[in-house]
Amino acid sequence: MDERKQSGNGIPLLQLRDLVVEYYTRSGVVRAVDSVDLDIYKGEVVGLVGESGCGKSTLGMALLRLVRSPGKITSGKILFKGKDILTLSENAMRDLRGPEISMIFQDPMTSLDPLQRIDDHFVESIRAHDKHISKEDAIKRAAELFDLLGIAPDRLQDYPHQLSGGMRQRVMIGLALALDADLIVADEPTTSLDVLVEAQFLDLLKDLRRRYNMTLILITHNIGIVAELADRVAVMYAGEIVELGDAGPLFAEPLHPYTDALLGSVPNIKLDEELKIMGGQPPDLLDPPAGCRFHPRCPYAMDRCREEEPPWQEIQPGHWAACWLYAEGKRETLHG
Amino acid sequence: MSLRSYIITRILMTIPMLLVLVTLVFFILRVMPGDPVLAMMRPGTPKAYLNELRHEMGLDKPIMVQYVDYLWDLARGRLGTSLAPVRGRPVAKDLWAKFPATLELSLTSFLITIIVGVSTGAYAAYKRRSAADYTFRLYSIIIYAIPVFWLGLMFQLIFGVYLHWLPVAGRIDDLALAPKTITGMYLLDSVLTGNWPSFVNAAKHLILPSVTLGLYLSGIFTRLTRSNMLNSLRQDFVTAARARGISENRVVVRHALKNAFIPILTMMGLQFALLLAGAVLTESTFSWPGLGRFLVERIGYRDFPSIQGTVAFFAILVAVVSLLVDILYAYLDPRIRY
Ligand SMILES: Nc1ncnc2c1ncn2[C@@H]1O[C@H](COP(=O)(O)OP(=O)(O)OP(=O)(O)O)[C@@H](O)[C@H]1O
Ligand code: SF4
Ligand SMILES: [Mg+2]
Repeated sequence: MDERKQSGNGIPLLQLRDLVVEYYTRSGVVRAVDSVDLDIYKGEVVGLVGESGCGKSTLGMALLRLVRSPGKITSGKILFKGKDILTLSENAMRDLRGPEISMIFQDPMTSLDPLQRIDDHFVESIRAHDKHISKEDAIKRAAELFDLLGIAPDRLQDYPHQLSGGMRQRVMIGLALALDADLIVADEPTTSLDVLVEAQFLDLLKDLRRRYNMTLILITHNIGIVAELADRVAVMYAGEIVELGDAGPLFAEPLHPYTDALLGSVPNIKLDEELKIMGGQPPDLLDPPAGCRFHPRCPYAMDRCREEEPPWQEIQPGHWAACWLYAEGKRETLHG
Repeated sequence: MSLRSYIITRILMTIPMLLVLVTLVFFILRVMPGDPVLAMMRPGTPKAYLNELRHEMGLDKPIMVQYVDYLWDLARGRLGTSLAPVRGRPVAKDLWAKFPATLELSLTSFLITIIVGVSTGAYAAYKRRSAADYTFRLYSIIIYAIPVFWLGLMFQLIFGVYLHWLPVAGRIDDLALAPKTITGMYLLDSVLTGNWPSFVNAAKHLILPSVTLGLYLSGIFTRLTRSNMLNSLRQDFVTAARARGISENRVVVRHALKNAFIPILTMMGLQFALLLAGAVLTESTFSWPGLGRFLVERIGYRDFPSIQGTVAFFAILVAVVSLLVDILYAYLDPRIRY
């Protein structure tokens, strides 16, 4: 990653700066994404992992400015190719959705309009962004993509319910590719697929990223998928990114106790302590704990953790974490 | 199941329903006080004469014999002849003559119902919790709670009596103005024959009754559309379409509304019976010479065959429409194949 940063590859494709997304619910304001900073570079696959409810999908939807009501992006910047998309008009934003940033959703069963044939999905999407492309050309394009995705092109005339789950998810990828998206956000793309189909789908993703130098944000709570695909990993906890680094080092030597617990790699602590780590619920985002949000579940929590928010620090080159252990110079606690 | 066998099954399933209905009507008519002879004759007519008439009409036969005769006729598609006011006139002929007026009123009303109901419901859902949403929801409750004849009377008062904008009764000012009969529906016939004056005149007559009936039924569709639309706006494919940069209009109409429309369509079949019931009341309010008014008039005469015939005709109509709706449903929703 460092190389990329320094190789004059220019500015990152996507830069999140202090991004805050809040849901205005009856019972109060839920800060689902809290002051997130993140850079995504062209051609990389970044895994975004974290427990259910930590704000991964909300972050993904924020990139398209499609956070569901009652959610709102309340502050921060989303710079895409250097331009803040939060200042764009709704029309300009629409031009961006698809050709620039594309999204693949968790459930391919429900992400396609059941009353619309697959080819019409392609025609509609392609022509929404370029009226000069004829229907025939759009279908031809779709057929080529189907070939690439390993689906017989005659399935284009099918309705969504006639395709299997795996095929539908391929169609979703195909729709993103048809528009030549620069950044694809995939939110739990394999969760609803069975293991075999999941493996095929991951192979396809790997193949596509090689072929297209695809930039992908892969949202998942399946660490295995991230390990297989991601160049870098961002770990989210209770609306915040708590650790970020290249996949290899992060998996081998996680810096943040939460990541450590998430990976289940807790070699030098006793079993009862391990249970203490895994136990507990993620905090209520309506009223998150003061200081480090992880402190009620953290086996290393110190007094300071309960009062002050830990700083976001680059502990090793390209490997960031927000944890007091490092400010206090107690690194050895985690990795003896 | 093929579509054909589905249709045949559906038709067969209608038969018991129809049988129950005509049986009920048959016996209710005969236990109700009054009979055609009494209804026809002045009070004080000699009893012997009345009985003679009853004998002629076959009303003195045992009721079970009358019932079996009736069913036998019905099974052969014979609706019998009128007892009063014109004895011996074939019921089928009357039904056939009155039907186009009812059909014209029903179709126009239904069009108004759908346009008003679906657009208000869809808009309310799209602008959920806005002033428009609350207004349309209130509208849907009030319009449904108002008796349809009262609504009709109010329209007659306002647009007919006070403002003199529109006629309040009948289908046309002068029968001489009526277009050449093709379908029997004045509006359609005047278009088909290019008869402009008759079109304008017929349209003016049609406005108040069809708006009355159309608005009355629209409340149900406002609510139905709203709830289905809320549901379909929440669906992933709507978000996914937005995420591909499809225009908001298209997302809402072509994806959300179209999907919301499928359950609405089912409801339409069910509402058709209500439409006919509403038509009966509206026709009476506006002296609209259709089947509804015919039915009410013949109830006054205790003209049993006409009443039975009209009810059976309505029932068959409802069955046919719900079958058509089902076929349309299968056509629109690719997931359903019979
Ligand atoms: N429509 C909503 N209204 C209110 N709160 C919401 C809404 N959607 C999400 N939230 C809240 O925002 C937080 C983040 O939700 P989000 O769906 O982004 O989490 P996630 O990490 O994607 O979880 P999962 O792994 O289950 O998909 C949750 O705590 C949730 O309570
Ligand atoms: S800051 Fe403290 S509580 Fe938070 S993860 Fe680090 S050690 Fe645990
Ligand atoms: Mg999610």
